Amino acid sequence: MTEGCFHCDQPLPAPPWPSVRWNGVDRPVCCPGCAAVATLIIGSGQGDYYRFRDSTAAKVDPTRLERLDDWEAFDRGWKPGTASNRLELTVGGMHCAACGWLIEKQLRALPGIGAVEVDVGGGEVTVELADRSALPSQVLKRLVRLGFSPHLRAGEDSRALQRRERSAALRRLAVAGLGMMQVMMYAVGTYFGEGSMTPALQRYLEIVSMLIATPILLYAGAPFFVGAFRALAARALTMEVPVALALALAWGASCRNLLWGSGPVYFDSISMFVFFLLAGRFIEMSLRHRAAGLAQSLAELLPETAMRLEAGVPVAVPRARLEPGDSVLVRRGETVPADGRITAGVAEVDESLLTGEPLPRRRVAGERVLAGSINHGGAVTVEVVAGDERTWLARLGTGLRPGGSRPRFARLADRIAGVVVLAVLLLAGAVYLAWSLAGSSDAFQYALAVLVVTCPCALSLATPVALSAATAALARRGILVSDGGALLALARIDRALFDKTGTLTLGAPRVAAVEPVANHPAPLGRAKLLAVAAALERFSAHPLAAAFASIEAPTAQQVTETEGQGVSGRVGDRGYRLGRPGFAGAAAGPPGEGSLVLADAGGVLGSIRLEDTPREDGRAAIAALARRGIEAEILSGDARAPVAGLAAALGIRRWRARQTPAAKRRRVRSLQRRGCRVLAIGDGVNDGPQLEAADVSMALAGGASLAQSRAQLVLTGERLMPLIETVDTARRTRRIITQNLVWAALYNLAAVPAAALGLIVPWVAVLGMSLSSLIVVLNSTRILGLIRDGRRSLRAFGRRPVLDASAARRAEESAA
Amino acid sequence: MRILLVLIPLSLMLLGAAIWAFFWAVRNDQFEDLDTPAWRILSEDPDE
Repeated sequence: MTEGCFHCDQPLPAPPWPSVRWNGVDRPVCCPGCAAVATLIIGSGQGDYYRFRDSTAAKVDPTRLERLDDWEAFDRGWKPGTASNRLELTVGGMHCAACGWLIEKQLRALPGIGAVEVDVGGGEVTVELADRSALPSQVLKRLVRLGFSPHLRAGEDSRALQRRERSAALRRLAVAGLGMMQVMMYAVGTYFGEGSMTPALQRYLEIVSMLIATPILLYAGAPFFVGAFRALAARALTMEVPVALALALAWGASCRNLLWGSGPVYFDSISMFVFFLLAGRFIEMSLRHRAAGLAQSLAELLPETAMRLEAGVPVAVPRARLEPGDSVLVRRGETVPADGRITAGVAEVDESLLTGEPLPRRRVAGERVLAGSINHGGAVTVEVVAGDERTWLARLGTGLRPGGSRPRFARLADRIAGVVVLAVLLLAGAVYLAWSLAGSSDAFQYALAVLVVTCPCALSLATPVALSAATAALARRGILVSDGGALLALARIDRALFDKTGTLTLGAPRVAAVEPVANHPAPLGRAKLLAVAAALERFSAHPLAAAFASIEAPTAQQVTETEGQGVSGRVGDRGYRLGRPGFAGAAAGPPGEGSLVLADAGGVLGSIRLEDTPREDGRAAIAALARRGIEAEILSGDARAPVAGLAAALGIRRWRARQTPAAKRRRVRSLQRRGCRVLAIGDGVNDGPQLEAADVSMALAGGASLAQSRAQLVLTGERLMPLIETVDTARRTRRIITQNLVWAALYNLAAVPAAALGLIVPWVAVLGMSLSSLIVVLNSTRILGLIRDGRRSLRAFGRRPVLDASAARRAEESAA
Repeated sequence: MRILLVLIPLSLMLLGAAIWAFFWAVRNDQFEDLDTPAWRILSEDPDE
């Protein structure tokens, strides 16, 4: 059993390791970054952190620790002692209560800091800077040194809106709930006092009931009236229309009966009705908020500071303050902070965050670069064109957020609900007429009961709740759903079409073949060829160099890198060149991406072919799909040989190579014509036509990329198994929605005739309708519990999801 | 039964107080983040 790093639990590299002393024993750590963080934590007396925490930290990126002084950019323009002395941050990397404890203790120890509030579940930290000696940069630097990644919370973002929505809903619930209990006490009094109560007393109780129920109706019940008016203005019928109508009629009749001194009053029913409906809506709202929370993380992938050139001197400024026309310096290894145009230098940009393309692209002066891409080339100067919310990255982020316009499926459900509501209204009217003509004095009461007892909640409430619950449960796993209807469609697919590069493979190059060339004055064997190449690539920052990182190599000297072409240097006593065929002095080499040629003064020594690494659980995932009745197929634009090889390795029988996007789309269509339901899986941008044509589209993104938003579902991370989890969740969700519909049908078929025949009193109708809708909503939340993640699922209402890798792995192991 | 003439207004006042208290709690974010205070109790801090 190999031990992992004491701080981040990643595998340890070759010895010797750095180590930290904890509890009297030396513990190994994997890198200087983790060592620095652990030393800080233990040195400040908070070594107990390692005892308390229940999951491991993320590996620390040492470059973040190097640029600490950049954070001082936030001190400019900071006026101590003003009203805005609260620093509101979103902090990434908090994964358990111990992190919250650690942050609190560390920040409180800084000079001039007042209150520190940490919300681990929501990923938020709020710090009060109490006096002049406190600076924002101190707080930010300390958080970075602890291994977390802080970001400033934008002024008015949707989290604030969600908070306001929730507070308002809570207030209404309070008024409705407390008032309801009070009114019901009086009502119970009148029920039990029937016969032995004086009429004066009865009226007294009824008047008080009215005094309480009226504010409940007008304040807590306001959403229903507003919703009903809006629906009617749009010529639509929603569930709120009969609710508002019933409430208004009941209240009006009760007040009239009160004035006349005779006849039943329904204030207790009104109060109960409002309360239970609000409770159901509150549950739905909480789940909706939770699902939307993950899309916020998109903005957190950009760096918080940028190097703006002021009179030619690079100055660190907060990224949010960049304006169009500013010049920023983007050094090697840094992320581009805003959309812009290169004005000097040559960049090799890795745009995998935005496009899923693993290989970097060369960009020269005059060409555009996008926020979120990483520069692997030399330092470049970029003139900002669009910053902050106007970058491509930000716009993709809003497209990904669910809850904008109601998705296809929900609109269909609304239309059906509209028909049901119309039927209910007509029925209530008919019941009133029938009973009046029959001479009954209770006609109004029976009609009211009919209006109240029907529950289209399975459609209008429980289905959105089920989809929100499923979306939220999947979001915790790093699976993003932008369209609930797509999730339901996923339950019925029977074909999965995969793209190759970036989908079934990771976009991480590795050495596939080494071919030495024989006709050379001093040829090298295979091993030596590889070793020389690795020695040269050690000095290269090019992404392809990563393929050689784990190969043992001697030290090379005088290595120079030519951007995008190759490296040259000396190993031992010979000078070598390694890179593109043209650079190494060979004629056009073998076709295919990533073939490098090694040559020396005497000519070409050999070629090294790199290939993309397939995802490690690919074979298991394909088998799991087959077990669920879904057949997999590869459609790739790549050459035959790599595609055939990958198909064989993964156990996929059908595959096609050299497919243009149009050809892929044609394949989707022909399968659909044969009656198949097709899931298309790609990297999100290069497969536009294919993804659009399919019944369900999914994109796989490596690492933390969230921007592949053309697809309806996005999987983050390096494993393919989340796909299986998504399919299982989709099927469970569909099953639960069907259960809800069946229950709703049975209930309505039993309850409505009973009400029409006058067998049900209004308050019984309220109780029945409320219980029915509550059953349906709670059944939908079962989906949260069905994804076992070791946390209290129902208690998690209102919490922001946190990507939890260890729990995800545990769940995958049990799902396969 | 005349005691009700006193009791009911009294209960209404209590109701008002309860609603006011709830509104105060919502305004002071008492209902945000229900998890951290629960963990905080469990932390064994020597200097608290």
